[in-house]
Amino acid sequence: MTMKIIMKIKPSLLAAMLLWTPLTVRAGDFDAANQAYAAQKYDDAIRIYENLLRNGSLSASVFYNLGNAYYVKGEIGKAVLEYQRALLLEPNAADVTANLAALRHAWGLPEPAVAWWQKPLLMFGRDTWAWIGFAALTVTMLAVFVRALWLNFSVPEKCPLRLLHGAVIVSLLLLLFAGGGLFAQSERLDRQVVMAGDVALKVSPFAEAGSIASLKEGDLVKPLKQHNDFVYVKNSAGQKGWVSSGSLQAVLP
Amino acid sequence: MKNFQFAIFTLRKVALTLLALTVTVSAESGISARLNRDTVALGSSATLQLEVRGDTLGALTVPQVAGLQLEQIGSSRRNNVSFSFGNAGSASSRETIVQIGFRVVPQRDGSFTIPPFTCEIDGKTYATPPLTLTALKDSAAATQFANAGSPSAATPAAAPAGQTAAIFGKITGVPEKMYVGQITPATVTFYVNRHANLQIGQIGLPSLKHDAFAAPAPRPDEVRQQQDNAYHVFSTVVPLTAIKEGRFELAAEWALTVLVAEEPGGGDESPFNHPLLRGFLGRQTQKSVTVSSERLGVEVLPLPDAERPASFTGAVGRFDATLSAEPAEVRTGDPLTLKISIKGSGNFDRIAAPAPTAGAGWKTYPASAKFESADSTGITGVKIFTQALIPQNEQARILPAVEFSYFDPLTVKYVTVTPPPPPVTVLPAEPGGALARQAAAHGADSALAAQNPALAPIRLEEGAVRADLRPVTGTAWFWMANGGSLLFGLAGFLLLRRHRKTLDADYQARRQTDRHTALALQALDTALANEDSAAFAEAASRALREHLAGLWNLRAESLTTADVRQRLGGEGESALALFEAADAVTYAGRRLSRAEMVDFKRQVREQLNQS
Repeated sequence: MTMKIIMKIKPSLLAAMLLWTPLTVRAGDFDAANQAYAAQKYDDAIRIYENLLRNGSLSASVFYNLGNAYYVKGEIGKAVLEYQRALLLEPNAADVTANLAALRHAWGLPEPAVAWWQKPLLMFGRDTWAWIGFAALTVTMLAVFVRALWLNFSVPEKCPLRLLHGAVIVSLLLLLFAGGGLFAQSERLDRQVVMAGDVALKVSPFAEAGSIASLKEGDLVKPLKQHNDFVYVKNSAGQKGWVSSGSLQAVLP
Repeated sequence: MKNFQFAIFTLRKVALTLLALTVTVSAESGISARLNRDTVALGSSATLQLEVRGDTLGALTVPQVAGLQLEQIGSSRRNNVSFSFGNAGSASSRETIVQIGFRVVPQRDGSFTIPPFTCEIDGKTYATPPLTLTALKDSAAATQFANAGSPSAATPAAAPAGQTAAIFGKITGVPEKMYVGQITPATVTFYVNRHANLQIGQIGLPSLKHDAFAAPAPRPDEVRQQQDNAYHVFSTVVPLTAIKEGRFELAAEWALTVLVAEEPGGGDESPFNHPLLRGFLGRQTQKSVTVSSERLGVEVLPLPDAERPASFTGAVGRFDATLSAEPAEVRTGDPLTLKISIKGSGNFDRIAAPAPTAGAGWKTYPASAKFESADSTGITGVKIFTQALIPQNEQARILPAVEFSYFDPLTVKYVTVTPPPPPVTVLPAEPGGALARQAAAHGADSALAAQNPALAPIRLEEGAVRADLRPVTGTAWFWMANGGSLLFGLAGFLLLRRHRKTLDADYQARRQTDRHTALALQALDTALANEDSAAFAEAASRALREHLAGLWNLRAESLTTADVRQRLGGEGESALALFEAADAVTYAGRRLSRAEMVDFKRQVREQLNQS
């Protein structure tokens, strides 16, 4: 009898175990990586953090800790890349921005310029703005729906018009801000990080072309177009030129 | 009081006398001419100012001089009317003053005498005294200006040979031969002739553009403006880097807008029809122009392959390197900061961190760089590389050597600098304690962690986990959710439309009822006028029926007294009484008197207004 019950619930148990196991393994891996970091075994920590990411366990904490590990190893390009990815998930994370600023200061990297109008729009991440926009749109549409229901199926004079109008005005304003926020954030998503030191910014997309300037490891560039193995980029100083695509890595893979 | 009256009287006399004198002086007729300079460089010009005063002005004769071009550049005219009050009574005088400007351009060098200008004024002929102008060749003029101490450093001796353009430009400071990677401060200067027949509107930034050279665009605050008697001068210094070998012609460009006075019409010979006068009247044309400087030939040579040192990374210029280390005393496993300072002038952008040669017992880490510019172009300054080193054992007594090479374009040689390493004392490690010592014990790379004590610590909580870095806007379900919201809105809009249609149907029905009721009332009035009881009763019944049927959204023909009773209940007694009275007339042949009909009509009206 017991066996029969076990046989009946076996598939469910198996499924639950399968679902549960990666979670526990993941939590264990994160702790193991942190312990390796604390023991200054940075190579081990990096290997475990990267494993977590490869297995689809993406979190701002993993990116940030991995960035720290790369930073103390002196791999500046990778550190900047991971910090940027952490900022994609948590745009206002104080520890990430502080370490990124410290890195830029120590390694003489320029801070990316932010226009005055972008500053308030960058206080939230892209996802937050997307949800704000969604909520505002939903409230607006629901207000229209409720008003229509009221007119059709209830006493029109008793409709709380002021409340509905107020909700629509506030929602439309939020919708406007959300659109601006999404636009301002779109530049962050497009960025690429220079992964090697002294990368030549060339005048044309050929290996033998002359260089205008050199890009530092960890510099952020904005790709504008591509030609074979070269990407035409704009760096934070506003200089434009061609860079070998192998020396760049996109913040959003 | 007497004294006060006397003072007032005296003051009035003095004022009137002065006014009379003023009028006498200002009313003096005549013609005068003067040159703003008596010596000019060949290719440039002088300005002649002619003034004619008088009540009635006749024709002006402008002299012709061989080898000297007199070009009218502007004129103005004003009328003065003055009144004088004297003891003998009052008088008025009228005076016209015409000022005409001429640009005097010598066509050859030498001395010129400009004969008198003549003009008939108030019936008399007046003439200016002859004027003398000397035109010198470029060098002679330059020397003369220099002796006079008049021109500023930025003032050109003259426009380039043969150039009489109002605007011209030059590039200076660029050597005829450059090497790939060499950087030089190129001065771009544009001159605008102040006596040219144009005004500068908006000005852009002078720029150097060429595929073989890299030159950043100057900032607006980097453009200097000067002026002297002859020119407005706009100059900027641009760091110019040669990036491609070959022979090239380099030119600078300057985009600006100018306001040009329109040329005079062919038929009008009046001396007052002049561009400058028309300029005052607003007849000017705005034009966008791009001015190119004279071309400069530059040959860009490749860097020699021979004797190129292994430590050469592309630095071209003249540099010196020094080393410093902190602290001077370090324990095994403790980090030490080595600073490599490269000072001089050249392409600092291409200077990479010199790699310390592998020293016995030292572990080295990548360097960070900082550049401190000593000028606005960034050509001179110092680049400081900061590098972390860790002595691995007590044998690490001498710091690793640092070698830096650059190419000197003046001596056409590679130069290798090996600055002497600063003395450092390495002590044995102390057990336990510092992070760096732990690192040494673990053999881990923690020098940079030690170098950055302010680094925020790692997070111990994993936080929210997601499977994809893509923003939510990149997912299909987000847009489906938005679509759901829009569906609500769409449903709302459809319902609103339905409501509007319903409103429209009610409105139309009400209008139709009102129209039918009005027609019935009209028939009622006609029947009353004709004292036709049957028609009156039928019209009254119809008016009530139309009205009530409209209120209850029914057809008037199908409305029965039972309906009225049911819907109105107790309140419908008066309406029912009217219906019954009308039926009695229609079907029972009862006749109504005029007075009864008037009363009946009043009751029908009351009933219509009531409901």
